[in-house]
This record gives sequence, C-alpha cells and structure tokens, in this order.
Amino acid sequence: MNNTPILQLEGVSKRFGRIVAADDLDLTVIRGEFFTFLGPSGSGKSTLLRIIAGLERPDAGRVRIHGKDMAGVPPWQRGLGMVFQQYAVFPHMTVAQNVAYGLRVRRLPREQIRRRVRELLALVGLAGKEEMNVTVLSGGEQQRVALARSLAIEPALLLLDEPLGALDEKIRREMQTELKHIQRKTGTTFVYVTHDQEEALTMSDRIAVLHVGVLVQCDTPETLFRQPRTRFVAGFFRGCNVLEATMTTAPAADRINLHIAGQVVAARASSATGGIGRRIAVAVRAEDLRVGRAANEASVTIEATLADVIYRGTNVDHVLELADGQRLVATSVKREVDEVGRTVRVGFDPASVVMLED
Amino acid sequence: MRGGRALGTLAWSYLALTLSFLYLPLFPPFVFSLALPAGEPGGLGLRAYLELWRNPVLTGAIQTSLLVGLLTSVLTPPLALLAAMSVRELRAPRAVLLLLLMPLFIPGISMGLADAFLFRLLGIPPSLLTILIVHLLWALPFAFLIILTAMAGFDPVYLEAAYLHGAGRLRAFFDVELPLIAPGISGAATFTFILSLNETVRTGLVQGPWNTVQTYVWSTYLQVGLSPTIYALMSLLIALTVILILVIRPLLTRRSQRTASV
Repeated sequence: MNNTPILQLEGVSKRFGRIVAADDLDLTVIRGEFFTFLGPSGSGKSTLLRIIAGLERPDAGRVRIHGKDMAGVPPWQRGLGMVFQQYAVFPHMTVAQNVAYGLRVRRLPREQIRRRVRELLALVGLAGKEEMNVTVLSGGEQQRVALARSLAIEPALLLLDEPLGALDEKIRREMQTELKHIQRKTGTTFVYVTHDQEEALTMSDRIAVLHVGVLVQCDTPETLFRQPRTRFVAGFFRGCNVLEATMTTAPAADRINLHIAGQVVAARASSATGGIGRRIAVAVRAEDLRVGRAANEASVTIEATLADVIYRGTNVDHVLELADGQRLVATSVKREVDEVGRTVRVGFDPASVVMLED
Repeated sequence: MRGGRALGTLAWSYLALTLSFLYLPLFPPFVFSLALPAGEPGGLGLRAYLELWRNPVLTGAIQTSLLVGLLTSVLTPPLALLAAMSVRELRAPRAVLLLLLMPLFIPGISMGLADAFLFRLLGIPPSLLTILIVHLLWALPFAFLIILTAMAGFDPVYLEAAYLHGAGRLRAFFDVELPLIAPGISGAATFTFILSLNETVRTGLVQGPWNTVQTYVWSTYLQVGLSPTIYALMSLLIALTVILILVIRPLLTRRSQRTASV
C-alpha cells in the first residue's frame, strides 16, 4: 500500500442544534485502505460519512478528496459511491438496471454497460439475476445489488453506512468476509461506518473511534484492541476490564507502580501524567487474566471472590469481585473454578495492564 | 370469544345500516329513469337514456364537461406536485400547509362569487377559461393533499443514492422519485377529473353562455323540474363516478403493497 492520501478531513465540525456531530475532526485516509468509523449511535459517525458524501455541509473545516477541496461540490460531482443501511436499491428497476444506473447517467456505450454489469454481478455473487425484480430479493441480495451499483462507477471512495446493520447474524458474518474480499480484489478505498466492534476489527485496516463527534483514537485493529487509550475505547471492546487504580510512584523510565485493590503492580507507563496518589483507570483484557491453578504461574496475583461463571461455548467467563468491590471478568477456554462465593486468586502479567488517559 | 362474535355481528349490522343510509338515495333516480312518461303503454324502458343524446344543449354540455375535466386533470397535478415539493424542500411550517388547504373549507358560493368578481375586475369575460380556472382552484388543494401523502411514503434515501451515482437533482427526480410517486400523481389526476366533472356552484357563477353537465342538470331542474331525462342523467353520472373511483383504487393499493415490501 503506498501512502497517498485520498481523503483528508481538516477541522471538520458540525452541530445540529445542541447536538455535536463532529467536533474539529482531523484525519487522513490512505488510498486502498479499509477505514472504519466506529462509535455508538449518536457518536456522529454517519453524519461524518454524509459530510464526506456531500449530503451534509460541515459548519467548519474542509473535506479534501485527492487533495481537492470539496466545498461547494455537490454529491453528484464527487465521484464517490455509497452503500446505505436501508439498501436504497431502486424498487422500480431490475437488478441490471440498478447496477447500470451510474453508468447510464455517465452515458457509457450500451455494450460497455452490459459488460460491466455482468462483471459486477459476478463479483458480488448475483450472476444470472440480471432481469430479476429487486423487491423480491432477500436483504442480503439487495445489499449486494447496492454494492455492485456503487462499485460500477469505480468510485474514488466507497462510503458504507452500516451496510450490514439490517441483516441477520449469519448473513452479516458471511457478508463481512465477502466485503473484505471484494475490497482487496478491487483495491477500492472503503470508508465504513459501524457500531459493531467485532465487524470493525474483522474488516478494517484502521479504525477511528468516535465519541460525541470527537475522534478518540485512530489505530490499527490490533493496537486499538490491545492498547485502548481511553476508558471509552476500552469499554467499547467486549472483554476489556476497566479498573480503578492509584499511582503510588511518579512514572519513571516507562515504569509506574499502581495500587490495584490492595496490590502494587509495576505497570508500563503511558502518556498519562500525574503524581503520587492520583486515581486513574487501567484496562486489562479478560483473556489476559488467569484464575485457579493457572494464576499461580502469573507474576502478579490478587485475591478475589468468584461471583459467577458464565459458559459461552468457545470460552468461559469467570466473574470476579475484588476486595474493594470492583468487578472484573477472566476468560479461559475451560471452567477453571466452579464454586461461586469461593476466594480465588487472579493472576496477570503487568505488561498486559494498560493505563488509560481518563 | 362468544362476546367477540356478538360484537362482530353488531359491528357488521351497523356497517350495513350506514352503507344503506349512504346509498339508498341513489336508487330511486335509477328506478325512475327507466319509467316511461305517463299515458304511454308498457312498463320500463331505456327511452330516457336515448333521448339524452338527441338533446344538443346536453351533448354540448357533455363536451364542455369532458374538455374542462381533462384539462383540469392534466394541469392540476403538476401544479400540486410543485407545491408539495416546495413544502417538503422548505420544511414549511404547518401554518403554510393550512393556508394551502384553506380553500377546501371556504363555502363554494363565496369562492365562486369572489372568483366571478375578480374576473370582472380583470376584464376577463365568462368563458371556458374562467370555468377551467375555477375548477383548477377547486381541485388544487385536493391534488396537493393526495400528492403530499404519496410523497410522504417516498424515502428520500433513493434520491441520495441517485445523487451519489452522478445524477443531479433534476435527473434524480425524473429517474427515481417521479416513477415511485407516479401512482399518487395518477390518483390525483383521476380525483381532479371527478371533482371537475361534479363541480356545480362555482361553475354556475362563471359559466357565461357555456353549460357543463352539472349546470345543465341544475338549470333544467329549476326550469322544468324532475323528469325521466334528469333521472337518467343522474344515474349515468353516479355510474361514471363509481367507475372512476374503481380506476383509482388499484393504483392506491399497488402503492401500499410496494411500500410494505421495501
């Protein structure tokens, strides 16, 4: 992947009355990248996509595509594609007419349109359904038509607004893999919006986490998952424990001593600053915690009470309560301890403790 | 459950009663239209219907009615569509909506007199044009309401999809919105035609030398009173209205089916 920026947002802000949808946002999307905006509803992620598309006007800031300022450029002249959550396939057109729409608007020769439609329907797995009425297709198939329609015009960017949000679980998983595959195959830059952390982690090259219009963290899925920067990001990924801790030393040489539920832990210092006695939050992933016999091999252990054991199929969640009342979850592939109410030891490696900024 | 069935029977009976109350007055004219003038032998006949076609005043009035009706139903829906689009585009407040619908509640005679007076002030003599304008004004709020309802069922995301695929506003409108709200527009056109065909009071005040079927019925009734010819004409007009309503109905149901499947 070369590092040519294809989309740049510079200080983009947008408000709807008192609701902040985007607050002075800066970011760059690289050509060929699968870039995801992740956030809960109301985080402004869809609005941001609509601003890029030209369907909403930002109150302040610039959107650049291929370096060109898009201010005053209407959506139909931006050369983008967009896939909507509610599919938006034209119900009065056949599958082929839908896919051909952008090409017909661009007045391409008929033969070329026909060839391109066939190519794209093959790409999205709808070969042979050219003449079908779109309204009789399933949700997943309609979304494939919408995808083919958007890709037909070879957009500079393909914007996808929760495209799998209206589909049921099984189809959604299939489509995740398929979308990623299509993105790689066509080399199209995807800008994807979702509230589903798993979807974001599975497909994206980079993820920007949004919270009430603010970009909280923008990183690769691995970094975001292992090193969340704030409590909000940590809380967004399933299986991440957030604990209250107190600094017992000032950070020195990347190391810091933290007091967690009566235990001093030497953790890796982050950019968070403060002195002795400052209360901070730390994150530790449930699968990095050991319970039962496995805890004995860990370098740090804390005493806890087993509050619950939840069987989840591929793994088992052990819900634990620390001496100061804080709760956390330890995940392992099998049941480590059983008797609820028993005192157990939780062990972990200090390196897996991540200091959060707020 | 038995209580539910009793309630059902009661509801059906009430419905039957209401329907007969609504439609009962329409039957006598039909029955009497088949009666022959007193003193002639025989019972029933279609003579009254045949006589309609031998009356040049009436056939002229039918032509006028059809011409004005067609022109009104062609001209009104586009105007109503533009009004509905403006209301949506400007997110016009309810007050504006109410202003657009207000003429529906102004008494026909007041509206007709006001129109006639305005035409006189402007120096426009009573003619087909004045009849047409009055019908257009009468039908416009109805057509506006029907089209606005049809447009409310249209999801603007289709327009956004068209924009993103390179279509400008006009192109997107003709490619996507117009075909999807077309049933509402043809419904408005048919309804407008019925309204124009049946309008009497306002027409009577601006008709000049022209007669529509309705003004003919009205003036004949005033001058001659009821006759088999009038009964026959009334029956025909009622039948025509029923047929036109049946024409709109499938258009409306097809629309709602499509909305349901999306």
